[in-house]
Amino acid sequence: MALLQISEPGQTTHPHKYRLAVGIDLGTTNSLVAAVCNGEAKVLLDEEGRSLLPSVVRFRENGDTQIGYPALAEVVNDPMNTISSAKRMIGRKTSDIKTLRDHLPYQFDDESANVPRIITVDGPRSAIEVSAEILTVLKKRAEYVLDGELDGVVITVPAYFDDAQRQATKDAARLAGMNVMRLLNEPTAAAVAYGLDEGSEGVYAIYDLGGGTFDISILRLNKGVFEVLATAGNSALGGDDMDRLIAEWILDEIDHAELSTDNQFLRQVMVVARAAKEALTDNDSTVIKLCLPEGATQDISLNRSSMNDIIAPVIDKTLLPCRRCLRDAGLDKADIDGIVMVGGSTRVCSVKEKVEAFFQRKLYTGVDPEQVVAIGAAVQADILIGNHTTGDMLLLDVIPLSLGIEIMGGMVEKIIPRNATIPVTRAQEFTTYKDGQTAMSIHVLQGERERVSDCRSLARFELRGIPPMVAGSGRVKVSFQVDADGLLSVSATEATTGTETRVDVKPSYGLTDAEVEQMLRDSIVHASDDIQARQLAERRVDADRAISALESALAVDGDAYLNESEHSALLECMKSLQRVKDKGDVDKIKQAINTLNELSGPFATRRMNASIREAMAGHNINEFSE
Amino acid sequence: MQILFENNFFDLFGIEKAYSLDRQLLRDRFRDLQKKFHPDNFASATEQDRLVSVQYAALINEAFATLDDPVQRGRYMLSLDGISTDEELDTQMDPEFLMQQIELREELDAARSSSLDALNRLSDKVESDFSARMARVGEILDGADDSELDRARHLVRELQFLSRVRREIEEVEESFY
Repeated sequence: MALLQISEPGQTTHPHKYRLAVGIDLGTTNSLVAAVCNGEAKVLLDEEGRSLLPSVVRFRENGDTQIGYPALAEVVNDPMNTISSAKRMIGRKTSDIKTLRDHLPYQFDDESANVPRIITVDGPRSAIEVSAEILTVLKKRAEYVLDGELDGVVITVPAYFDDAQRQATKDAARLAGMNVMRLLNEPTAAAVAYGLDEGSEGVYAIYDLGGGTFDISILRLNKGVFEVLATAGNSALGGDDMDRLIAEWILDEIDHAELSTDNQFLRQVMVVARAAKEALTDNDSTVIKLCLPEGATQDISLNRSSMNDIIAPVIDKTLLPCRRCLRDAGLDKADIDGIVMVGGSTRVCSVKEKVEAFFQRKLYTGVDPEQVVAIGAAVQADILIGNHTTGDMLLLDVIPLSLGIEIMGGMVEKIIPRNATIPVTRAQEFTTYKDGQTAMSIHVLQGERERVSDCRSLARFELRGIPPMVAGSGRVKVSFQVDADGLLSVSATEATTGTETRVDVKPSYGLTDAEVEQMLRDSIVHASDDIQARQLAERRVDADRAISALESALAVDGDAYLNESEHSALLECMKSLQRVKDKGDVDKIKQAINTLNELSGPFATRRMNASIREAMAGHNINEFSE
Repeated sequence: MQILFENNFFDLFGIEKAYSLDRQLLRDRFRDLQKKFHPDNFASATEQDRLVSVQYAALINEAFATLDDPVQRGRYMLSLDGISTDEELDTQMDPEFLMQQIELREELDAARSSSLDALNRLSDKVESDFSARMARVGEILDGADDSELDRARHLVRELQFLSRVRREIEEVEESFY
């Protein structure tokens, strides 16, 4: 039956062509790439057989950037140019990371900039560019191992990432030349890896403590549907903070006050602090060896129970989000069937002990906590690209933080509550408050607090052209849409006079399109590549995608929902796109794709409308037959 | 491009229009629909298919969230009968209920500076007020006597008040940890 085909488009587009898609875990400390090969998801290794890529990038004067292990090796020697933990800075303003910066050795350029840039010997670099470098290495690794170009990627982000952080991550992928099919929440990805592994049903909490982020998500698993009931977390809390507490303890122990401003020494202390933490996972005590200036050394011993006391504040801080998450899900601890432990920091023994004591439930630690997120992302990528080699499933995720707009008195009115299932759309009407008011400014915010100053400012825009009227009679409808990536778009319509004015949001944070374009140019100059050629290749792929998707839709439903002239108009439009594509003018291809999209709009709507009617009728038939 | 949906949410899920509903069935139907309409099903379909599916998936989510929540469900069923529970349009409340609300707020303020036990007692009280009203709303909405609909409207508005107190209790509870 035709309608069934709509729900499984993956199987209708070139069923014989296997397309390459990977899942990427872009982590604070380490990053990984995984893919489904022969029906099994696995992490892809580098040429030396290593799965992890340290998320560290070192910029050098000669432009020869080091990424991963070689950069990690230079962290202590070249602290100012070797950037680690970029994920903690991505999508944040300079003022947002002010407290964070006190712990970082880097120098930032413009204090007031929306996108902070770190000054390096190779010029200023934003966290977005640093992340793009890491993604590029993973992309090359995947293309080498899988022997072909990638058709699409799924990139994971902390569930608690706000709109700005998600958008910035997507910008990084764009810089790296990737087709991002989905931004997937890390705990959800982990649940996929576990759920498919164990075929479990029930309610699970995913406790994900990484290097710099903490997420807790509660999911219900039922017949292949992974439904996130609630999520909570802290996007600036993780293993890094434990390392810092241990480092501060070390600094107290050594009694060399003058060294506490020495960047190189501080980096060394952070490195040995982390090593001590890792050593105490398997051992009861460890000896920390420090190199002091002028060749002196000092040994400090630390045992596990002292370390547990030092890092306790970090772990305790994760329990409040756990409580909130349970409550938002409307559940008690007793309703949870198990806790899945994810993220490198859950290797720390006292994390496991405290989480188990809090939930009083079984902990699942079976899959490598560092690989599980990438594995889940690979499975989702395989499904989205249309291969479906690991079976079918559906992920229903939520928005982590409420969205609202500024109202009078510097207060925020919530429009979409946190933990609403995405995609979600909401509209709200606002009225003019002054006589003759012809413009209205709209300020979009994200966060739970009531005051504007306590929430994250996402966008500001002005709606003009409201016809002058008495106060209260001008009406503006503001529509919010959050897509399946958790990304927001807002539009506003002035509807009093029937003449509608639409405005699309320009983000007040992050990079503008022009900036991304410029970076793209810069990075390609570095790679001595041809930007025109790359853009043309990308547009041609878009064109092929549009044509093949429409072809298969027409083959199935064309006759049912289009009359003859509509059908032939679409075919003609497709042919013309094909011709433009072959000629090779980037802008014209883009234009022709848009034209085709617009023309096929009514067709898409009719098919989907029929499909929903069919689904509703199906229920009623079931009822009679039951 | 906007989708046009003219049925009510109960029809969407193919369940009987009633306040007392089978939440499990609702959830099952919700999942079945998202298995068909969620944008993940259209990742390699046309751009337009994706845009339309986002709108349908959002509609299905909204419908589920509305029917699954007892207060939202009450508001929605009244709105189907043309009865608004919008607070801005109607500021009249039962004076006795308002008095109780003021007392609740005072108790909440007192609990804030006293103990978790005091807060839990308050929470139990709010929960029982909530359940009692919910049950009554169900009886009216599922009953045959339309003359009581105005009573249901008042009760739903009181439920909205109580849910706000519930949220505040939760916030105070967090401050204890």
